Amino acid sequence: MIFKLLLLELRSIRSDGRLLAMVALAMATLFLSTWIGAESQRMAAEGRAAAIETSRQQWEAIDGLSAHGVGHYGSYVYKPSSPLSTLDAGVMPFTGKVVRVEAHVQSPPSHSDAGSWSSLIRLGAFDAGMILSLLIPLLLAFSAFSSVSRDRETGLLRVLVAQGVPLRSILWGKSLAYWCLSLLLVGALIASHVVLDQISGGPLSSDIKTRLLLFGGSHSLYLLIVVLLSVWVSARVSDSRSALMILTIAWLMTSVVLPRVTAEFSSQLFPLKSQITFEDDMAEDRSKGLDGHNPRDERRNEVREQVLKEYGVEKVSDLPVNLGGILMQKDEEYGNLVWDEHFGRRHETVRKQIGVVQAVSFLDPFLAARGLSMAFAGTDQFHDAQFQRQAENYRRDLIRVLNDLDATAGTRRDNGRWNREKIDYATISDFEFESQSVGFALGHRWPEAASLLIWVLFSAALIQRGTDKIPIVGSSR
Amino acid sequence: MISLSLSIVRFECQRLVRSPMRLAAMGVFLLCGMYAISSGAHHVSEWEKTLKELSSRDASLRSEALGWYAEQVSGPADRDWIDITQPRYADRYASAHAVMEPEPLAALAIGLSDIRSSWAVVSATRGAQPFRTSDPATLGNAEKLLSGNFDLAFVLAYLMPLLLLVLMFDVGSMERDLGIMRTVRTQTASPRAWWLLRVSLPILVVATLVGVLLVLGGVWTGAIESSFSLWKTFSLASMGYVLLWGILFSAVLSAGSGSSTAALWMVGLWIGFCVLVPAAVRQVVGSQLPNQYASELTTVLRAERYEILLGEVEEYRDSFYSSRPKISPPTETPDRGTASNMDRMMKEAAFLSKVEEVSAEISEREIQREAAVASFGWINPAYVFQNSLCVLAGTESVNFRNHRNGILLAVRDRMESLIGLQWKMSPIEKADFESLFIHENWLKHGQSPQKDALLKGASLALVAAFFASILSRSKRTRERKTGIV
Repeated sequence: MIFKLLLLELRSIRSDGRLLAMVALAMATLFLSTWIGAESQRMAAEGRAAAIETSRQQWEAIDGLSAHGVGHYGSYVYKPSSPLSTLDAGVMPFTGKVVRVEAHVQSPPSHSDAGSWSSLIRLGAFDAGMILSLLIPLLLAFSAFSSVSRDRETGLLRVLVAQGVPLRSILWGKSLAYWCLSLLLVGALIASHVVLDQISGGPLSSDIKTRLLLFGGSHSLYLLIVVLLSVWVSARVSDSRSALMILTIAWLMTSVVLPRVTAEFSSQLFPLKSQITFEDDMAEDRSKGLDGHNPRDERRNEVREQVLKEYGVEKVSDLPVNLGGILMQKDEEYGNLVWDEHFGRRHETVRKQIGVVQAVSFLDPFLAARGLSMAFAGTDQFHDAQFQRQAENYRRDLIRVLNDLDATAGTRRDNGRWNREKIDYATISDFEFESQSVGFALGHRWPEAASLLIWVLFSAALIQRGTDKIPIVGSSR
Repeated sequence: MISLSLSIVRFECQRLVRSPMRLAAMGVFLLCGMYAISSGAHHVSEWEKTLKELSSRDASLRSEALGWYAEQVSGPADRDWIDITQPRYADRYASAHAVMEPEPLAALAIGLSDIRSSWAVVSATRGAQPFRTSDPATLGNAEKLLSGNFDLAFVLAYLMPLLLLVLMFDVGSMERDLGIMRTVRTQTASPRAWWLLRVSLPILVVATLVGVLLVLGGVWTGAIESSFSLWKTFSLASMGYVLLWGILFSAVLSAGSGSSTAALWMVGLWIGFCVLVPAAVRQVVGSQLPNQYASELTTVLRAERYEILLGEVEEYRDSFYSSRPKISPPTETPDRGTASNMDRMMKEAAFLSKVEEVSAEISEREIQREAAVASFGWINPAYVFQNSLCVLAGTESVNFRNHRNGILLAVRDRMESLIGLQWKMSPIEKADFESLFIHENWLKHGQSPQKDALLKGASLALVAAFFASILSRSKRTRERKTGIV
């Protein structure tokens, strides 16, 4: 019965020129966004390759600097785009793309797109994630708002029920018909992405394929929720106009107002220190010691005594190594503790803020869909934090290698002075980003996944069990 | 005519009162507006708090140094390497920040102020960092930035058209749905006046609500008191925007469709103008003028800086003196320390020039990108409106670009002062030290070109009128051809 009703509704949709035009428009928009996104990604990849090349040339041209001097000269790490960022750019426009890697300092990423754009950047991105989670639901709501109420107003609903068709089957038939339209859009989007990837020669790894499927799956589930709720509202409310207003307000609240209010609320609930306080606190800990009682000079003296004892000599000029390099590395390790403490606290606060949003996603499925969309595209805050962590690990390794070279690459002269050897810095490799598996995304976004599933069950239950109070006859008749 | 007006007003009032959804929509709109104003005010208070922290930090360092002058010592006893009479330490202890103070309307349109930094260190010896202003957000929660800010500008640009949609979508179209339009036309003395009054009333209701929010925002944030003319322009632009959407929706209604078709058209316009067009323009312009990985800037900040600092000073000496006619090479051979300081200063000056060059290039590229975005302005009313409000509020990219230039000017100012003191070849006295921070002419507000905002508003109104005339003309043509009302 449901299948027959589904076919009937699809036929009715096929004869509705407005709906077909909307579907065509949505599909064209999705294709266009994917194509432009792929083009932008290609240019970004070229830009990144050129930047890496320039930076590498500068690195290899270093001459006349000590190993620690090279640590100050530093390097740059360039953030790669996620292969699925063409589908959902996520937080990428707001996060820095370049990390300065140098001794003594953990630098946050800089040069974000948002840093050089006008306020246009606040008006959303033209990508499939935005279209599927923001626009298609609105179009579906505007298509489905009169799906039942119109039949009631024309008397068709009364006829169908009188003929023994269960009301819930009618609602399921209509819901599934609109969901089929959504699946058509999601399927076409994924197919177009795969085709574009094939054309550009990029092989799809199994992880990307899984991510792509989950991306499409999460959006399909969200659209199912939208469709079920829209059809239920259309059935429950006495007239089409009221249904339209309820759906418009609901969409507005869930997709536009609540995400912003939740983000504001979370930042007020778990406030971040201002940049100036953050930097001041780090500088203070860096110079005074983590517990505030261990001045830097005392630590340096301690290390010197340890090294002298270790090598069994009494004077620094008798050491077979360069004490400067060892001191720098010890200082670096102490600095790393400070960075871990402060950046760790900051990341923890951000994680709590996101936790608030994840909790609210149980009230607002849009937040769940958006979080999952970004996560599966590899463009959410957690993926960005992972890039920052890898860049920082690279910095620590690089500076350790340089400080070790500073300590050991040389010989002690007879006059006790340290004679540095010439070092070929070109042998030190560049940063390589290790992408995260889909398990990483799911591990951080399970609340959103759970929220989406609960919403699917809830809205399905509304259609299945909540038909008792649905009026069959319109009030005007 | 008067009785017609009164009866329509009475009818519309009854329709509003009897529709809980419409009342709820208006209530939600007002609540959103109030929340937005409070959120903006909170943001600005945090902004002001940061500036106060900076100011107290500057004051603390300066007073520490002035204390040494009073005690006639060159620095603290436990850090004997510090010598306040030397330019390097004078620069550090004459601590200063180039800051961008919030404009009176900043709380109503926070624009980019949560993405960009409003301050930078002014120092001639620690490297100019104008681009450090661009990315404080990377330390924060980027997902919050992605969600967007909730200020009054957002409520007016985004939510107001939706409220108008909810109040307007069945004006006239409901009569068509019920099949009583012909009756209405025959029973009304002037169908045109009837229609105009019907569409005007929801617009007036929305304009009143917007007015209430503007007055509330103006009083709450003190904008009316501190800058009435700016607030007036802000309000005029907002009312113009209400009118623009009113005209657009009236044009849709005048096309003579039923309520569901009208609603679909209206929501299509809203999606198009508030979501799709801005996002598409960003994507298109971004792909034409991409923001790459800032190679030119990173090259200057690293490779070229090292090249200058490790290079021979002779390379920069001639250009240094030729660009500063008031300074000449020392006639007596300075001591080793002074000579080294002078060489360093010449190199820092050369580096600052490089930073200024690359900054100008980047600014030029940003301006080109904004010009490309502006060329789509006629189909991008939500952005044009938001951009105008942010410019008035001093929180748009142009304001931050001015601020960035202000930072460079401040650093240049500090550099020239230090050069002057260094070339005196005598220790820096207290009065000279104070002169380094006494003229803080870099403390700037964002610029607020009111004319630009009004011009943009006027051009949008023209475009709206053009669209409206096309839509209503097609309706009249169809009515003439088919005879269907």
